[in-house]
Amino acid sequence: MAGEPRRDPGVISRRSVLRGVGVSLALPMLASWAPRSSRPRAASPRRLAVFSAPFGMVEEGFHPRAAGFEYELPRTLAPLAPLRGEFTVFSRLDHGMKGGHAANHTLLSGIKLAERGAWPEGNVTVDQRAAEVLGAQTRFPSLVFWNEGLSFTRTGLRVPGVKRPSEAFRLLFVEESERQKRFTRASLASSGSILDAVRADARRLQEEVGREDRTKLEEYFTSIRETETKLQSAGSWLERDKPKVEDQAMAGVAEGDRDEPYGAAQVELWFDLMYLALVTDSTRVVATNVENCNWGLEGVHQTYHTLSHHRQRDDLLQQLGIVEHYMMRQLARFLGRLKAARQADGSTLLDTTQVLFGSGLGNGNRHTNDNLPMILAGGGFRHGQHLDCAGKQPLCNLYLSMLQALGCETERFNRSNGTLSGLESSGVAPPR
Amino acid sequence: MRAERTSPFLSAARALLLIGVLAHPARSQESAAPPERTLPAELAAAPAFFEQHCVKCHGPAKHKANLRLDLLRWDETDEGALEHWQAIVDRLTAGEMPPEDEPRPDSTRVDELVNAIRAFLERHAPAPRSTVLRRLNRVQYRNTLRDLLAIDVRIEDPTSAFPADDVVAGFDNLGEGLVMSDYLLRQYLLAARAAVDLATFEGERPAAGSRRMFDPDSTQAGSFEINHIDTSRGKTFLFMNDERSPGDTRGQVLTTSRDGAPHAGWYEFSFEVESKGRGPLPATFRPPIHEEFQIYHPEDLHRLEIYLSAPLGYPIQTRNRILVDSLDLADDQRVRIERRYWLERGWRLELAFGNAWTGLIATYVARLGGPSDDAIDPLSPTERFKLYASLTYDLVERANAPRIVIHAASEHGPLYDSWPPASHVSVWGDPAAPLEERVRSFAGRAFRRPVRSGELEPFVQLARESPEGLRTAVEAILCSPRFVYLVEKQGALDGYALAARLSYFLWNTMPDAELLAAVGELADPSKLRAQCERLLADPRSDEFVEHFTWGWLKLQNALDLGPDPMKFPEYHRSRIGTAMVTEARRFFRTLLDQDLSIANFVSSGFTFVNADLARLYGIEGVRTTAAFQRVELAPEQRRGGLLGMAAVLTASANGVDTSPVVRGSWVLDNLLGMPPDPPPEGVVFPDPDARGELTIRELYAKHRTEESCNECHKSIDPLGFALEAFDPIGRRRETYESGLRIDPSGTMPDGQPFEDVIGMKRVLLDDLELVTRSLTTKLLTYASRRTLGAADRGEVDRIVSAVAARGYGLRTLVLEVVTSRIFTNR
Repeated sequence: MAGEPRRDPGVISRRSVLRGVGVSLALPMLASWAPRSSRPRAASPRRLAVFSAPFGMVEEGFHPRAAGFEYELPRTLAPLAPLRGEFTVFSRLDHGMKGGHAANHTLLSGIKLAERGAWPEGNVTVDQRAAEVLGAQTRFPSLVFWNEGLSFTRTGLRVPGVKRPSEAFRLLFVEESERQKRFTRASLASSGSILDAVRADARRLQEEVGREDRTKLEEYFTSIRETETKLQSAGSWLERDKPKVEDQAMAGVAEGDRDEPYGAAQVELWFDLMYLALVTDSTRVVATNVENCNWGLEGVHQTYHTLSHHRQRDDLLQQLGIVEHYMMRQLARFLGRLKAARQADGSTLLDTTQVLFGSGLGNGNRHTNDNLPMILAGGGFRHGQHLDCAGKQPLCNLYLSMLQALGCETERFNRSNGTLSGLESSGVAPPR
Repeated sequence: MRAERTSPFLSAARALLLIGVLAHPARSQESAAPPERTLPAELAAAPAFFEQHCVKCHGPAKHKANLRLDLLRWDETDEGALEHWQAIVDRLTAGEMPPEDEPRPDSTRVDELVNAIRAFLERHAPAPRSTVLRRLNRVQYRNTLRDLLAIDVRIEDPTSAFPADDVVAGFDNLGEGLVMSDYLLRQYLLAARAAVDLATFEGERPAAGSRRMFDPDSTQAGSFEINHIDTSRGKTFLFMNDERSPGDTRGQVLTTSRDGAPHAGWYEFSFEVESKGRGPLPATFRPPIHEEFQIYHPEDLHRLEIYLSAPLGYPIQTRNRILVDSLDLADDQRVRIERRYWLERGWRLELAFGNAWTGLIATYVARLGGPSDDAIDPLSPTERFKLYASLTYDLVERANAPRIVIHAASEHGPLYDSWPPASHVSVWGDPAAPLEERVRSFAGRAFRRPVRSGELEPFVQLARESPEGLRTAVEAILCSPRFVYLVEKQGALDGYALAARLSYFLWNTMPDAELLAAVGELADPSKLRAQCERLLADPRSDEFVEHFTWGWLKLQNALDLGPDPMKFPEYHRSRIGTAMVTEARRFFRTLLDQDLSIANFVSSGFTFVNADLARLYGIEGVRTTAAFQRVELAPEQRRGGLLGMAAVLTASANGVDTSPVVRGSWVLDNLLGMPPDPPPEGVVFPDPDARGELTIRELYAKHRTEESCNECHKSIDPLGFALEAFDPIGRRRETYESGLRIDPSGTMPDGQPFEDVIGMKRVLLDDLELVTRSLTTKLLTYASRRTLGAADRGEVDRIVSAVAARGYGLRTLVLEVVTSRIFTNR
């Protein structure tokens, strides 16, 4: 059947039971994972999930014709039909960028790497900006399930991504070995005094060097301060057990059985990992993307990159359609799971989690960066419409609206000139 | 030096530079200071000159190349304005302006004006950009740990979780791109701890043991292992790789003991191997499914690969595995191989048959005429493997299938050059010496210069107060700014700073003892040159070749932009991407070692290939896949130089199709140093459409017919059209997929025609000066780790002239770079 993952005959799977993967427990209710510091019927925390695709989406299949609430769902978005009231699709919304692939990395920030020196917050991306606010309460301030290049902090760090499902699963749910923990404890024990010593050395150095170098050394001092703050929480998380997860869908993941090949099956897996990361409150900011790959779907015979350069050939467009439809199916499945997860205060996980889908390219065939395919779901907004922004508002306005709804007290985000008009809160404000 | 004709390319290329520089001034000139402001004295003659000779085409009515000479900028603090005047000087002195068909101004007047402008520029030369305090990048940090602590960093890499370094101007070692973050600092803390752990050896020296394959006295844990081993035969062989992981030889390997090395240390290995059965694959072994992975080249010698591999606890696909050696084996000859490697505890060595055919053992079971399913099912996995092994071995030998026979294998270790090993001593020093002395000794080496007492204070105090003592001070030193950053004072670099710069430039690591001993003499150019020669002659300078070519030629793209693996599985299976990169590096290395002319980058009569690359190029007679050979190129092959190399052709395409604009721009940017400006606002690209019958030239018609497009595209497109003769991964082609014939001819900006890429390269050779200037700029950028600016122009010119006068040799150029003002000053 077209669009289904191909079953590979003759593959001998290697399974070995890894000690310590986890005792069988029912999937935990969110209430039992609420942070210790919260009150029994605490308000649910807010969260952000991001899913991005590298090569844009075919325009006729993604962008609806009519604007407003009565639009007809285009064919690529068909899998989202049951969740129609839970998301907003945007048209003619972008960063005003040029550069094709070279501008791909600006999706979540609107600012090119080379320009970041000119901006007060550098080229910080919306997920990392959110992590500044949401990250303090969880083991991981954010989790980036992809290769570097899409998430940046305000200090210019390109956030390293978790590249393999086995790595992600182990990070989240498998206790480190005693040896590893001893190493980390020992490192933490001496880090404080080491940082004191190097700070003293840096102060001395600062007096010896010229003006320009002093500015560069500021980066070093800032890093010391921020590391000291993080060491504290790193120490306490080390002593807390990780959540245990028994989920049939995760069989073999920790052992690395599902690390290869990269394709449709792995994309599904990353969505599952994102869901588990959120539902166990291991993090409140999570992001994943799709890479160029062989999809391994029925009816698709070329790599994703090749399909994106379809040059209007019918056969390639048809295959690309299958791929894009499949991605939206995965998004719909993810949203469905979030919607089904009830929280202690009666809301669903989807109510308090913003889910953003987008691509840094608008038209992959032409390599343009305008009219980006963007969807926002959940998070307590009023959804159900096709919002045609007519190129009149910067995409950063959407991000500003999102950040404010997450509790970020700011009036600006990079290129924004206000919040996104046309997008409103649902009126049932997620509790603070 | 060519006197009469200005290079056709040079003038057009300069036009690009001018457009880049002047396009913006034309817009902002509208809001420039009103003309009544007093012109600087030197420029007094300029307005009248321009009015008479220039404004007709560069004025309010017509502003060719977007330039207006009736509105002048002379703000001396504006580097852009200064570039503007420099460009005017360039055009006037080259006689390119006014154009030949316009009335010429009196040459004395031109000279006077040019001299006046030059005086103005000299007076207001902007301060040279100085290298910002910049930290070691990841590779440099790792290599420095390796050399400072005498540890192996290949196996357990303390920097494996470091974030990637940002790329600026193509290189990942520029100060501007190297930021510090709390994440990285935390990584430094962990890396320092891990490095000290790796270096430290306590207790008694472990005894060395020996382990042999098939040794009846050795226990299971100590013996060599292979899948499907059959102990009764007294030998074993490798004959097939797993088809599920093309390009990855994990299917069948000979490994050392299950538990791996009992202790970290040196291990000596000895193998006796023999390649047999090279030839067409017997029918029995051609698998029925997945034909496209069935890639075995009987004409290539069998390749033995040696890996170091991580302990069993790691999942098999992700288990860390490092290729440490590759050998082509002659047919039917027993060869003895001896190697010595450092292993960490639990690590193992593996032998693999690199270019074996691929298949799945299970699919052969039915064909082997072995026991039925009913007989096999009750067997345990071990018994089952033994059965398969026995059956398969029989068959492989009977059919004389391609295989590498392992007659003997042994391992001896752990061995140490001294006890405690050098790494331990580098951290802990002499236990009898006072603490302060030991801290000073380590800090002095780590900071790459003698330390003053005040600098030591915080670390000595740390060593005294920390429960772990000296090691805490050592770890702190490895995180401190004096270690992590290269500290240089303004102006001329002192001996220590220069030694560090030279060492990181050519070896990507800290200065060695010999260089440090020479710091007092480095102010003398001849001594500096001698050290440079010494470093270049050392194999460690491969770091320079590897990383410079990587950044200059954007070789990451050659790996990333490979073709669709479903259309061309051989590419990935044979690791052709890696072979392409090796070719480029070997070529650069040869030009460097033999001081051959830079002209070879444009056009050359030789290159380096292995068998896989030779097949891509249609070159016969190369049979080795590990070793690269020099091949002489016939002109009709249209290869030679960078523009014939698959690495460059792949990096300038996108894996699916080619674009003359992208390739042309690549040449302009990376070879000629004249990157074209992006297209102006409002240009709408046509949606690439393969359904139509238009040739690429017809699609690009507007590039010729529209004047504003033509300004830039007359330089970009012809280069790209010539390179259309190569497909997206550098194979020769005469037609497109659609069947349309490829027309690689073109016309240079000055009207000079060429038939194809050979002719095009001949024209480019006229611009060797331009190529040299571009390469000089890139080398200086990489060496000084900063982007160059207008003030560096003079020094660049001087270097180019010096190199040109001595035959354009690449080694000569590198020596000039090292002795230049830009390198020896901050």
